[in-house]
Amino acid sequence: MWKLFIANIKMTFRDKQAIFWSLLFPLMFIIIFGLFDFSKLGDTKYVIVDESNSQISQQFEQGLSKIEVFKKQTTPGSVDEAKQLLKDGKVDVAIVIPSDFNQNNIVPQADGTMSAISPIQVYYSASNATINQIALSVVDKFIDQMNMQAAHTPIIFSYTSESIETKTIKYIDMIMPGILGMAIMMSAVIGISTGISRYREQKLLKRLAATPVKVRTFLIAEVLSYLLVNLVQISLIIAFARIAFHVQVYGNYFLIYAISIFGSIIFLNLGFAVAGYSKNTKTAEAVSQVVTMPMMFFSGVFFSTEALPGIISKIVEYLPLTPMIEALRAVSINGDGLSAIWTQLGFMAGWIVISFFIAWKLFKFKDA
Amino acid sequence: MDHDFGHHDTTKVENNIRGNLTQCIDHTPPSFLGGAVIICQHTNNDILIAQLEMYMAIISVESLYKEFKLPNKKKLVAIDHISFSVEKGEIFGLLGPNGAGKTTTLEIIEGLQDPTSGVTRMKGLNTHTELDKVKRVIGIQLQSSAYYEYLRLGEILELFASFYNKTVDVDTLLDIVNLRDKKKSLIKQLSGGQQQRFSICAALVNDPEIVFLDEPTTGLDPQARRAMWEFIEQINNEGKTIILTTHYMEEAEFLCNRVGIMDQGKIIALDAPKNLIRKLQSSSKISFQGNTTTDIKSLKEVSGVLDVEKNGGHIIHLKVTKSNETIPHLHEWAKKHNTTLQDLEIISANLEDVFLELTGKTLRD
Repeated sequence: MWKLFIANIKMTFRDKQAIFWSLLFPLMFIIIFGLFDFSKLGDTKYVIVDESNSQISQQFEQGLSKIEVFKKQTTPGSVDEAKQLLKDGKVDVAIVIPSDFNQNNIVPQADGTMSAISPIQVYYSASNATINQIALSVVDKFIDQMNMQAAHTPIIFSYTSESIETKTIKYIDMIMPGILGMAIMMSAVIGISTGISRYREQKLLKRLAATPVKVRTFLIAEVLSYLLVNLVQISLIIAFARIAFHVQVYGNYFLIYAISIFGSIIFLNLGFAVAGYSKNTKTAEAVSQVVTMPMMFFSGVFFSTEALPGIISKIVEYLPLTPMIEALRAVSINGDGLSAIWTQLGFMAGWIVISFFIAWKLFKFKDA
Repeated sequence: MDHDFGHHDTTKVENNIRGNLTQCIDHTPPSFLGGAVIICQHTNNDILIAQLEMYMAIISVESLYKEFKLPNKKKLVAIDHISFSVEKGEIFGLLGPNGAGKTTTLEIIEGLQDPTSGVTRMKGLNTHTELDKVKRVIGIQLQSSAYYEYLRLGEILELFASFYNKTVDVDTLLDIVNLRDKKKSLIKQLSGGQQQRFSICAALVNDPEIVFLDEPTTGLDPQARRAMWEFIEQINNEGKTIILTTHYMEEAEFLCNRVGIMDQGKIIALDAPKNLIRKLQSSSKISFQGNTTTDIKSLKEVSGVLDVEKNGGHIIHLKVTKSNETIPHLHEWAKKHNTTLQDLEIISANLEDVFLELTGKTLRD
C-alpha cells in the first residue's frame, strides 16, 4: 500500500491539470478577493452648477470638496447639461445653486422680513440608493449649519468622536475559510470521480483486479493520497492569504486542519459515489459539477447563507459544505474552540456516514 | 515444441483413468497433484501417458457457458458450452472473428468475469473460488489496457511487482521486450508496438507460469507483429505456458501449438494448425500459366483435382486433395496435351481456408 500511495502522490504532482485545479485555482480566488475590497463603496461623483457665484455659494462648494468620498467633476455649462451627465451615469449627483443664493439675501431687510431664497436643487439617480442617502445627508447637514450661522444661533450640543481599536474583519478574512472548503470539495469530488472513471475507461481497474492487490488497499491508498493533497492545499491557501493579504487566523490551526480533513472524507466518498454512478469520464465530470456547483454558490463560500431566501437557506443548511465552512469560519475569525462548533461537526459526521453509504452502494471495483 | 498433444484417441483410456486419478487425488492436496500421479502404481503404459497428459493440462475449461442480458430483455449467448484444456508449456490460441467470444472466454479463465455456468480450473484450482491463489501464478495482458499515465515504465513495473510482494529487476524485465532504454519514459511517449510490448512485459512481473495475451498484435504493422511473435516465442521457451487470442490466422499458424477456432461462442475445431489444415478436403491449391487452348474439361478429370478455375490472365487454379499425389498425374496430363506447366506453384491451405470451410465465412468479416 505504501508503494501505491507514493505512486499516487507522484502521479498527482506530475499531472499539471490536477495541480492547476487543486492548488492554483483556489489561490486565484484568494487573489481576486484579496485585491478587490468589495466592502468599500465607490466615490461619489458630483457636479455643481453655481448660478449665483456669490461668496456664500463658494463657501458651500468648498465645504463639499472637503468631504473625502465626494469627488467634484468638471463643471458643466448649464443645468440641462448637468442633468444629461446624470442620465448618462457619468455623475451620481448634480447640485444646482440658485442665482439668488447670496449674502445680500440672508441679511434681513429694513422691514425685518427675510426675502425667500430659492432652494438648492439636488438631482440624483434613483438607481443608487446608498450613494443618494449619503449625498443628501451631507447637503442637508451643510445647509443646517449655514442656517444656524445665518440666524446666529449658538451651538449648544456637540459631540466628539473617537475610534476604538477592534478586530477589523476584512472581506478576505471572511472569504478565506470559504475558499478552503470550496477547494477541498472541488478537488476531492472532481479529482476522485474523474480519476477513477478514467482508470475504469482505460481498463486499469480491470488490470489491477487481475493482480492480487486488494480493493481495500487500492481505495485506502487513493484516499490517503488525496488527503495529503488536501493538506498541501490548505497550507498553501492559508500561507498565501497570510503573506499576500495579511489574513488573520484567530483560532487554532490544528482545528482548521482537522475540520478540513473531516470534510475531505465526506467529499471523497461523494467522489467515489459519482465515479460509481457515471459510466464514463465525461459523465463523471458533468455529475460532479452538478454536485459541487450548488454548494459552491449556496453554502456560504462567498457570502453568508443568511442572505438567501427562507426556504433555500433551510435546505442549504443540510448540505455538507455549509457546516464545514461555518466551522472553519468560526475557528478562523472568531477564534472559537471545539465546544463552539460541535453542532457543525455533528452534521459533518452524519454526512460522512451518509456519503459512505451512498458510495458503498454505487461504487463497484469490477466493471460490469 | 512440436508435440501434437491430444490428437490421439484417448477417450477410452481417459475414462478409465479418471476414476484411478480421483482416487489418488482424494488423498493428496491439489498442489501435489503432479507428484501424486507419479506415486500411483500403474500397470498400463497408456494410462501413465494419459495421466501425465492430464497432469500437464494446466488449464481446463469444462462446459463453460456465459450469457449477457441485453437492455431489451433478450439474452446474448457469448459462450455456448465450450470445453477444452491447455497443456503445460504450450502456446494455445483461440482464433476467431471479432465477437466470437474469445476475450470473454479468456477473462472468465482469468477470473475477471463470472461464468453463467461451467467451471474453469488452473493447476487444479477453481479460478473463481480460489482466485487469490490463481492470481499469483498468472500474468495478464488485457486487450487495449492502459497503464498509469504519469508513471515511468520502471515505476509501473516496480509498483505492479509490489502487488505480488515481490521486487523485480526492472532492467532484465524490460530487456525481454527490448525496452530497457525506455525505462524512464511515460506510456504516452511510446509507439503502439512499444506499448503492446510493455503490457506483455508488465504481465511478467510476478514470473508467472501461465501468460494470457489478449490480441497481442492487434493494431501493429507487419514488422512490429513479427517482432512481437519472437518475444512471445522467447517467453514460451523459458517454460511459460501461453494462451492467446487472435483474429490473425498467420499468427495462430506461426505461434500456436494448438488452436481452438471459435465462432459464435462455440469452439468449432481444435487441433494443431497443421492437423486442422490436413483434415481439409482440399489441403492445397496448384496454379500454373495456361493459354486459350487449355482444356479445362480434361483437367477436371485428373485424379485428385477437386475443382478448376481459370482467371482472366489464363492462370489456372486447381483445388486438389493432396498436392504430392496430384502432381505426377498433372505431369502426365501435360505430356498428353503437349503443354508445359509454366509458373507452376503449390499453395498450401491455411487456417483461413479451415475457417471458410467450417463456417462458410472469412475470418476478416
